[in-house]
Amino acid sequence: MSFRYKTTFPSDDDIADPSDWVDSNAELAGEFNGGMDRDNLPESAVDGTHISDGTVAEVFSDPLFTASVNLPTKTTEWVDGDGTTVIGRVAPTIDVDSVLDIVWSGTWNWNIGGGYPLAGESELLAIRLVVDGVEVARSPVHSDSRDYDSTTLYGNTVVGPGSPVVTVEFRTYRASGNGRAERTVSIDYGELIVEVLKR
Amino acid sequence: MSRVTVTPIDVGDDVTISKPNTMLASWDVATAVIDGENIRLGGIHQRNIAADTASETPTGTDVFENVGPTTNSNAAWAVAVCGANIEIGDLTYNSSNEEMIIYCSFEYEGEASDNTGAGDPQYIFEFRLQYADDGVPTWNTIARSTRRESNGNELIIMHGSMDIVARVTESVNSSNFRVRLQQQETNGANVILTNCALFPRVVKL
Amino acid sequence: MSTHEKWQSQHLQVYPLRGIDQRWKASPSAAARITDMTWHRKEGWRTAGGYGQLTPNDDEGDNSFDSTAEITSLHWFSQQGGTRQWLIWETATGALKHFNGSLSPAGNSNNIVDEAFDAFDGTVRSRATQTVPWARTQSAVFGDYLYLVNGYDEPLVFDGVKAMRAGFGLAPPPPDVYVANKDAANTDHLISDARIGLGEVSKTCGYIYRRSFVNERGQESALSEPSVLITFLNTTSTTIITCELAPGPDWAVASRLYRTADVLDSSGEPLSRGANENYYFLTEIPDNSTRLFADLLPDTSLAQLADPENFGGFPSDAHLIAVFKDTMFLATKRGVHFSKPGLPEEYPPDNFFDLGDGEGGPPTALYSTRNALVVFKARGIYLIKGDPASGFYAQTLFRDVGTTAPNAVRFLPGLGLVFVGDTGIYLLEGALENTGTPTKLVQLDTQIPDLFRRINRSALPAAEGVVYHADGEYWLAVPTVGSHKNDLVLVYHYEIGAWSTRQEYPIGAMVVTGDRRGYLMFGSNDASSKPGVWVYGHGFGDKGGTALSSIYETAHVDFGSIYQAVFGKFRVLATVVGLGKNDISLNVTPSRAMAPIYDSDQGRDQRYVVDAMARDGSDNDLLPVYGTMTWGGAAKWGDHRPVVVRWDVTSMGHGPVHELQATFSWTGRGEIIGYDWVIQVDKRRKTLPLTEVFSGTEG
Repeated sequence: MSFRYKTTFPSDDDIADPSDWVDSNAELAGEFNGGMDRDNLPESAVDGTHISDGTVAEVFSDPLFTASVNLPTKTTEWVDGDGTTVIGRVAPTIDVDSVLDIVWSGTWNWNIGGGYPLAGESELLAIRLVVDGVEVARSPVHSDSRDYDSTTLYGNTVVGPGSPVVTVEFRTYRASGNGRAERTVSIDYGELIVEVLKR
Repeated sequence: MSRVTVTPIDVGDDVTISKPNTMLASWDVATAVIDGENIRLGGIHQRNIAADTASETPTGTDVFENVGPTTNSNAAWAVAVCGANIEIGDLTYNSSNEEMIIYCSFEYEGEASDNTGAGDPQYIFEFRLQYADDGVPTWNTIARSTRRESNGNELIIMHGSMDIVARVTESVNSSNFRVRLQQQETNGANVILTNCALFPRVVKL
Repeated sequence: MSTHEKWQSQHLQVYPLRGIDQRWKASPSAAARITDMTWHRKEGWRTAGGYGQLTPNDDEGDNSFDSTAEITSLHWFSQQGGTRQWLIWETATGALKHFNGSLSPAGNSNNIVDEAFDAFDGTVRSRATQTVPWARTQSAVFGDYLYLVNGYDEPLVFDGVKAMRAGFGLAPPPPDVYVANKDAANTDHLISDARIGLGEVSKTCGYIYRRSFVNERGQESALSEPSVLITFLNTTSTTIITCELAPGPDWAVASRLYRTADVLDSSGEPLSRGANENYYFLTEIPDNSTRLFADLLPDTSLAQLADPENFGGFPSDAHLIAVFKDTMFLATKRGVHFSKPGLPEEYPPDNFFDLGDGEGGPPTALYSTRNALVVFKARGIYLIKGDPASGFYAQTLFRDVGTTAPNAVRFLPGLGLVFVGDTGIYLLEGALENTGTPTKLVQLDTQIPDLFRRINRSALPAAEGVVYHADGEYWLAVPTVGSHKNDLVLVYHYEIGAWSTRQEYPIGAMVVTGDRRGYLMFGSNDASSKPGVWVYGHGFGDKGGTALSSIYETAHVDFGSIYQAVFGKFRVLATVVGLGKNDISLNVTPSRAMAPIYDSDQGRDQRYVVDAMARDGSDNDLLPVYGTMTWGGAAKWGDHRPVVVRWDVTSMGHGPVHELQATFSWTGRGEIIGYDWVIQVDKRRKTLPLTEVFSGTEG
């Protein structure tokens, strides 16, 4: 509550001393020069024209891949694509502690064609969001009982200043087979969106 | 220069108005260009910031919500319907200093195929988002990442929910900005949509 | 007639000047009365500041405080490292408000709201008010939260958005527990996997549950009473128990469940006496809406053992609060409770000091110092020392003195803890610890017995005290002469141990802001003529429209007995800061007469004659003054430096004068550094017969 008040009260017939002027100006200037706060500004006085772009939030979303990406079968580790194309990766440069609001929304198909899953078969896909190697969200396991499928995965985390790397990763595995070769899953469309909410 | 300079006056100086005027002129200039140099770290509070400065809450025709149910049957891309066309707008949007993220969610139920026997063609439901910004409207598809699909066949009635989140990356500066959901199916099955919602979130700054 | 021996001149220089001393024989440097003056570190007494309203007037000259009711308590605190500052006050109409400078000048405050966003406006929600003097709401800051207690309202915690109940007053009811029964044939719902579910197979088992609430700050309530003992027979399967949970209060955001391990042995008898007293953490339910919880957790998966004695709510009737060593202390009528360290809303029942002694009544004030928490009663001072790691302990310091004015207990830098008791104003000196400085009680009001006697001690709970560091003053606002409201300010200039007074300060509550500005702000107890919050400062020329009454009245300086009288003329020389044409006025009272020598005070300019001489033949004085100097002419900025002002005074007609008192006063600015008496004293030491005086013959 940076209200300031003058410090001197000169009257007529007082000897003119420069401190009568200077002291009060200095008192007020001391607050004006870097000490003002919410009580000095009216309500709703600040709008977008007064705040630099990127002060409150920034949004990033790329790259967008342009053709379906076939994931390897039975990945033993989490993968971010087929080894050539990265499906979703965002690496913003952030200058202050922030909350990352992350969404990956995408769709895939199991290349089943007209048939439907045979008895005793089950291929599985899991998806997760990762920030600097730390998992922040994990989808339920999706099976190939649905040939075409989609999901939207949400996650958030707190990061400090720097360049956090946000990726979407996938893992495929077969829960049970029937003597048939594993099916590959194609990630057809997807978008990774990262909203940086700044402190 | 947003900082005030206090001009010192010394004992013995001539009593002229020049130094006080210099001081006042400094206040004149500074009070007209208040910026970050004048505000204490952390000094601005929520109440000093006007509404809709950091983000906008969509209202009115900016938001689509309808329980439906409505049967959609489109062999080619057409606007999806859930009680009404799943469409929002006109919104005012300027991509040079704003970001728009579209959220769309709905429940769907695909009818069973009327084909029989093994090898019957499966039907595929597809959904995508489109935008228009010219007031005509002339519709364009929002980047390929918005398309969603599901499928069914003779024996499997697909019933589920879908959630599409998409960022508008196209360059737009319009007060006639509209977004809609489109749908098509392969092999001619109907899809029933219920509990649909479509709304934007505009992130500023 | 014989020739008189020669008169003797005496020149008494009084410097430096000190504070009020109402004892019969005070030293010459003391004063009988000092009003509206402050001691300046350059060793002078200058006119005090005045006060103005916290927010400026609008264009019509109205102030947004004009319709404010009497202010009963005032609190200042900051959050987030001082970036967000709060001034909060309560009014006599039951409102709880916070200052909002963004509304100035049309407004100045918002009502604080609770968790349902109902406003404390005195109608929808209201704070307690009393018509008799009482201690009112006390506050303490812990982390980024302000805690408010007064013994009548529920304790509140304010987080900057809302004020809600601090902690929990009551423990939750125990959960209703029963074996889950979902089968249409009324068969218990069982689990075939013995790795999950309760109890062992082929055994009768028994369990007891307890529950607690958790609020949004993670503070937990006391544990509920134990539930009933639920018993069941496991044959080939284990069992699910359902806990039915009653809804919690609005400020509960989660519940925690605790459970025993199986308390029955293989025969279905209790394992041991204490088996049903060991409760383990079972789960946290992260909402206040879940009504049913299914417990499938086997005993081997239970978490840490919880001691029910280590749980406790927030005493609802706490009327005093303080923070000491990362621990919150509350005083109720029963004694002093302390929280778990770092958890200011959890008070285990054993964390309690019964400072009753059967005497002295309930605690009346708490104050935290570096080494101890000082607990006051009306008659009694206790210290609580220690720390959370090694434990706290209490010791009695004094039994005979105490205070009933919790808002006037303050720490004077370099001196100690000052408080007001029924019998005096005291200073608790020393570090309250074994540091070599003895802890002792010093009475500060020995110099002001008459002023202290006027204090209405039965209304002392209304007294307010603050330390105003900018001027080195301890302000003590007290009710006097039967008044139930504060109407006199006693100012203790602690750097020199001097007292002065100020009036026309309607102080209902008072704070000094905790930021670098250090402003003294008070809330008015006079809603009709001076409503709202006021700020003291040297930039205000009056007291909210009332003129300052700056007076320095010296002690009665004794120049000898009545038989060594002063006759004729004498001279007063006052060394003052030369401020210009505005007068310093003098009157003199001889020998404690009922009236002074002059009917009206004698004014003199506070400058030398030469200062008023024209400069270079122009209209401007050598040291020009506002109102007559010409800008842009030959005037030069001057300086305020010490000058000597002289009065020649006659005491003719006032009889034998042996004591003299000078009263200096100002209507504008002034600062007095010292003064001199130059008198002529009859130097005869023997009694003179009248016949000799009136030219008779010697006998």
